[in-house]
Amino acid sequence: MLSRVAENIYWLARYLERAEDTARLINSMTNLLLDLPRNAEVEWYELIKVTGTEEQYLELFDDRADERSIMRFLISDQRNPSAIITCINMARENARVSRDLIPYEIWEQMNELFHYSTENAKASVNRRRRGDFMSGLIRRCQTMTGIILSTLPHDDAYRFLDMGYCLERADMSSRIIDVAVAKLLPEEEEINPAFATVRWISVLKSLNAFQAYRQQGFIGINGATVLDYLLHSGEFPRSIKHCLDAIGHCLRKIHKPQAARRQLDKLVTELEAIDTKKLKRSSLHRYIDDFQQDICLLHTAIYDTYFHSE
Amino acid sequence: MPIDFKLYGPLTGYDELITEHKNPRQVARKLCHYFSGLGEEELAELKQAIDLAIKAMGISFTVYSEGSNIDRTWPLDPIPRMIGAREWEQTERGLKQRLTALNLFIDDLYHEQKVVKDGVFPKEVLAGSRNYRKQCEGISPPLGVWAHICGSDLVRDADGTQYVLEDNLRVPSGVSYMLENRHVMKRVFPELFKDTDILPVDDYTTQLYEMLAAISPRPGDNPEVVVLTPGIYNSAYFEHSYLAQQMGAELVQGSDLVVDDQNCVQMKTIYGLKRVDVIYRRIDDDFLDPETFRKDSALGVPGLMRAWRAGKVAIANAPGAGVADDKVVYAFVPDLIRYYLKEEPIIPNVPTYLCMRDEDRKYVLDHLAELVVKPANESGGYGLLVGPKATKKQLSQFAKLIRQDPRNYIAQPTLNISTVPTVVDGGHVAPRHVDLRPFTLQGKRLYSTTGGLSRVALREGSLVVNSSQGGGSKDTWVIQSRRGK
Repeated sequence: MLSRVAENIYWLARYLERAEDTARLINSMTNLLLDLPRNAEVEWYELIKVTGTEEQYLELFDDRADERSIMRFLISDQRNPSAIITCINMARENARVSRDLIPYEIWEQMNELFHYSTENAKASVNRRRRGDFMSGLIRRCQTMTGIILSTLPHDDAYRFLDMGYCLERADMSSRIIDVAVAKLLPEEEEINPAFATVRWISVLKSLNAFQAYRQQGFIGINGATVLDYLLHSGEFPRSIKHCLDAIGHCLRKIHKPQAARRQLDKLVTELEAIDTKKLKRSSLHRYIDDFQQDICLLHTAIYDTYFHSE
Repeated sequence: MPIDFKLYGPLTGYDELITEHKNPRQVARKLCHYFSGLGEEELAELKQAIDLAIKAMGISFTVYSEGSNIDRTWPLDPIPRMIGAREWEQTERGLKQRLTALNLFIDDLYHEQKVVKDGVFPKEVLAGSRNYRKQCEGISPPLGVWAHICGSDLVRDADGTQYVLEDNLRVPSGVSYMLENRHVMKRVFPELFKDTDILPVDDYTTQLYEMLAAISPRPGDNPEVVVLTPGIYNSAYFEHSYLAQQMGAELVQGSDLVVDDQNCVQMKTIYGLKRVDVIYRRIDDDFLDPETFRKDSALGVPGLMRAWRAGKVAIANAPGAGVADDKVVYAFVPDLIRYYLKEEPIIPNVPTYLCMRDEDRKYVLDHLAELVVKPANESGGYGLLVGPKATKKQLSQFAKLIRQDPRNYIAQPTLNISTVPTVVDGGHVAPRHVDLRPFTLQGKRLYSTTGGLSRVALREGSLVVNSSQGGGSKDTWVIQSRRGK
């Protein structure tokens, strides 16, 4: 497999996952704010922080942080490299240059997704249309995943795709957890427990983990168990542990993965060391910060090993 | 209101589906019957269904406009163009005959040049050829074939005679649209396919792969065949990726390839370098290898010509094959067929005036307003003059161009090329001019597509069928009639 094509396939997956995750995030935030007091406008800005686009946002909008500007920026603003519409465009471009490799049905679905997002993104900045758009988008992304699973031979191409998906997902999960930690773990002042529960539920929902979490039979919803579940569950497909395991699985099947494997092992060890019950907000926040940087290093290791090895 | 072919017109010459008495031709009877049962609204709906299918399938082409690239949806008309199988057999023989002669000609030019010594092909034409490559002299590519893939343009004049208008031997494109058109038509008109014997077109990519595999320098079961594309911004990128996908070949860009010190071409894979045997290149000679041709080319592969000359890699079409893709050479093809094959040409050429000949040039300059003038080495319908439609200023401009560089211009009578019923303006059916580009392959064997890509000029009266200039396309049906097989 050509290095360039492996890179395209990997990015195809990353962009699709980023679009889907952003849609989930926006959906759960929109739902959460319906439950919170009316002056909660400022919360929208959390989304900018989670998606790591603060710098671009401030450049374009100064300190405006109203729902409309933020939604436009995250959904339909082509100037934002992580906006849903940008991700879908980039995914399509990556699919287009890999068309010789990916089965026809994947390309057709990619097109469908592209036309859907081009035609509807702008209108979905409004709350009324937003939910429908996000659900439609998520469903189309999932259809894509389904077609990939059942039509793409499970060879190297599939592994690079899967690594792209899982790395992006681990990255997004860690960002969501990071913000949740910063806002929700008690330090000195207490948060109103009723609101805290609603927020933890929202964190779970933004990772589509609420139902799975409840089925584990935990009593109540508190920060430590939620975090533990999202970080360490071996079964839940959006937990960080699960994503890293999947990447490890792919790396074992591809030749010469030394550098990437070393970086991955380091990540897994770090992850296992996080004890959500013992840690306070500041130390946990630092842990997760380091962890995010190490995810970037894993990306770099994959990049150096397979895409641009000279 | 249902479509009434009695009201179809005005007919300006030969129509592919309808006779001068406004009856459907034998081959088109069933089809015309089907369309006669439809109202304009239904037809408009069908057109929409086709557009939607094409959009969903992501069939597009790229147009350069004001410095940016626009991705346009491929235009396909609902009414197919039909050809009887018996007529097609004849055409196919003509195409194969032509390509065989052209390959003998190219091989001769790069070796002994007997054709020049025997006085059949003038020395001065060769001397002025822009696509003759000195670097190819003395090289013998596998099977003696230089032009493996040829896309010839065919047109029909008012009296029904079919002519070859030009031979495209460099990087002819359009075959993917021929295949996709059929795909779309099956999706939208399954009922029409049920009771008509339409010959299939989709073995082209298998034939193409077989031909490419046959020229591999390392004979074996699995030669590494790649399609070399200039990249995503090329107008035919869709086709490059389509063909690579259909053949299961890698689609590579110049930057994916390197030539090692053994003169082998290697591609950069996730496991390191892997040797390439056959390159189906979709890049012009000029850009192929900055070591040999244009130094500023970032699209090519440094050292590729070294590898090719050493016989370590096969390239299709071979570098230098474009020497026969020249409108002056075109004028000599009937003579070349007689010279090399001792046969009469099966498909005639359009009568052609060579401006380099004093007599011809005088005639051309005197009759400029009646003729079509073409530069010898352009493609895509660029840089030509259609005399009857030109302004005074354009005419005098071309007269000047011809005097300055006579070798570079040819002229032909303005053909009244045939029409075919086409859906225009939301469901109305009107005659539009059409051409046909079949694709012919030469490897161990000769192969020709069944039919080809039919291109229509969508504006009334227009003769320009190129999609880059607003042309549309049609599915082309070669019909096996049940009675006369």
